[in-house]
Amino acid sequence: MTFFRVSSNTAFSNFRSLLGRQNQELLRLSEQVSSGKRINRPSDDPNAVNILKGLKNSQSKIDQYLRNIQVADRSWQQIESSIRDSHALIVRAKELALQGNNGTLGDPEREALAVEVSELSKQLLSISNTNINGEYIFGGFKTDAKPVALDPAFPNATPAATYSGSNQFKSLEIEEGSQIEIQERIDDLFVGTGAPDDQPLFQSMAKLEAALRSNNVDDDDPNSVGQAMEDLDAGLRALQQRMAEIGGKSNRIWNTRDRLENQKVLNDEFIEQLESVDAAEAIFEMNRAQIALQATVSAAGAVLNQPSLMDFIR
Amino acid sequence: MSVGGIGSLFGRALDGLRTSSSAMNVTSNNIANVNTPGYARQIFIQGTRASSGNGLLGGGVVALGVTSFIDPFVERQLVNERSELGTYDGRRLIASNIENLLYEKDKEGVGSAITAFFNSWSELSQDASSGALRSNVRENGRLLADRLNSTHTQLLNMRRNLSGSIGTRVTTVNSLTEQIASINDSIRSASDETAKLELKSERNVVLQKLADEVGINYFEAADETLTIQLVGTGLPLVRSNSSAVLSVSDDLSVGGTLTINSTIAGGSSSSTVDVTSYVSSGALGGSLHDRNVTLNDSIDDLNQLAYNLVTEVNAIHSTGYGLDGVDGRNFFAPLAGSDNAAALIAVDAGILNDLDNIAAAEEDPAISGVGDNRIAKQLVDLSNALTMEGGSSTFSQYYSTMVSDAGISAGQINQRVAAQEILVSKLQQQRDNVSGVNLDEEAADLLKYQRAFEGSARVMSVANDMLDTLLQL
Repeated sequence: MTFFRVSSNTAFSNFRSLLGRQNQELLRLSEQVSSGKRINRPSDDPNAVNILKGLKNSQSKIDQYLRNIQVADRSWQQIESSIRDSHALIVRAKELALQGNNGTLGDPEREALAVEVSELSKQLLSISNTNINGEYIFGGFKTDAKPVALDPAFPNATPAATYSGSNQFKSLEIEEGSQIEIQERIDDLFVGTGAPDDQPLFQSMAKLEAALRSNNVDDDDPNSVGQAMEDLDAGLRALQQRMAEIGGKSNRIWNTRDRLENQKVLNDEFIEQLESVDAAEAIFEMNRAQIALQATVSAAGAVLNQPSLMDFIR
Repeated sequence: MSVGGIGSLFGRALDGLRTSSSAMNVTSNNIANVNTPGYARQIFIQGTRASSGNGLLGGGVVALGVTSFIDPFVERQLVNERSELGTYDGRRLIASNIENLLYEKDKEGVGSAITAFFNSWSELSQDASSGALRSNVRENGRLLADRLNSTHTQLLNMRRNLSGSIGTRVTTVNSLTEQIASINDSIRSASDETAKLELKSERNVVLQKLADEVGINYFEAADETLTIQLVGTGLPLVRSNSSAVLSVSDDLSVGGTLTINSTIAGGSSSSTVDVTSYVSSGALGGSLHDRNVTLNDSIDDLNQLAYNLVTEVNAIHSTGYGLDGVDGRNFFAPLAGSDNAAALIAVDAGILNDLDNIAAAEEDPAISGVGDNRIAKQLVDLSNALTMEGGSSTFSQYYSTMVSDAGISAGQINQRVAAQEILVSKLQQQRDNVSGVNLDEEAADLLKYQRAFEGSARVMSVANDMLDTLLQL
């Protein structure tokens, strides 16, 4: 009969390395349970770590895009409210023109209307020079100076107003590779660019004020109250069109925001999946490792405490 | 017919007593060494003493010597595999240090600083003239530089500490080879076989320790001295009674490596040789690889990242204009090359002195307007540009790859250690099955020789009785 010779130390060293490995495994599992994370260092899953880094980086970028979107949204709300105010103001000017165009009206009444029109022009000027947090929002890049000024001879001047702002407008990145303007040009509608069919609002307002003061109600005269009214009508249509465009921009901003927020939620879920440990499973695994360790310990106790022949030498 | 008198009875009994007690010495030595690593159990060999007369009776018992059980094949394998285990075990610590350094559990590392830096430019594009947002850009630039600086410092510290520990290991190797050389010397001059056996057993223990430190070849010469060479080379560590003295010289410059030189006295060659490339395994080989390759590579990668950040950011920033209408300014202090870039990266003094010097505008803001944010937006776009590794990754991707590569390498090393530990423990078991001490066996031997001793003592007492009987006649 042949048998394997086993040295006394083999059993000891076997149990020692087994206990070492089992303890290490238990430590790893308990780290997962206590941190709630499957990945506690890159070597736990290098591939997932690479993906996680990318996801966390894009989360941080999305946060920045959302902050930019907030700024853009606020800007467009301000722009929209300014254009809406201008629209209401021009509507009021048209009403005054209608009253003034009545041939039975006396000079003092027209004078009173002219004074109110003059007030409206000043309000339109202050809308053009709206300043929010120290920035003139209608001046393009030149946010530090009033972009629009009335000619000193207003209303008897052509052009009636001048624009000193920039022709370049600020835009922000609201998504990777996608920009949106956060400023709107008004010089074309309010001041005029010098084009032949230009009917800028300040020019129309000046015409109306001058016509009322000079009692010019002759509809055939290009400088009459009636002509001014038609110019204002053209201006109103242009403002309405501009408001529609602004609405489109706001829609684009909100769409982008919703999409980014969805993306953020999806990324969070993905990060959670990659990084987090299924608590039930982790605890189950930990218990299993614990039971295995206990089994090894009691087996070691039984085997290593086995009586030896040494015990019988008396 | 004469078969020897009562006197020879005493002689045989005395032989028996001596032999049994010698055997018990061997057994007790085995028991005493049950836990000595590398100890090979010894077996007592006895034989019949040739009869001095011409009779049929033997002349008693004689101790023939002591031998030990060693399987040279398993021993050699064990030496090789222990070196291999030493390699990966030594590298495990550095690998986990690097991965822990690069990995950011929360938001305190280089990776998140890169993102935060470019986000701050995006923030500035909202309002290019805002002092608060300009200050935010500057602080995020400083933070990014700080993170790179401190990561670089920690990698350099790791490299320096590792050089120190290599120095310690080299001292250990020197002392082990010196011990073996001195045991060689003793073996050569020992006349007693038992003494030689003891010396060889001791030498074997030292040999195993040496194998943990460095990969070796060994063979026994005709005079039973052990010659030890660095694995895969003929470069001797021990030759007869002389041993090589290894010394370390550390080059602390960028990309500098640590060199190990060997000097051995005696023999034909007594010169100093650079053995760095031959020290390939064992803990020393593993540490040397980490010192000269792993850490230098990580430092290089970090420097490359810092250098490209500085040059790419400056290239765009210098085309832009500050609020004061001046162009051509750097954002980061310019660097001559990638050497030490991660240590040298810093926000340019011009930017630190005056926030207006941050260039967000593409034209003089006095002309284009203070809201000109086009350079700020170009810098935001830089974060998505393929600026690293010859146009194959962004800054952030490059850093992520550094982190996951560190993880892959640490994971591989952990796996190698686990597999190698099992292999070594199997070999150790095989070796112990041949050479290890089994206490039950020894106890049986102890009883056996005790009985033999008692028997011989009884013979002695009977012989004594017989002599008594004769004397009373």
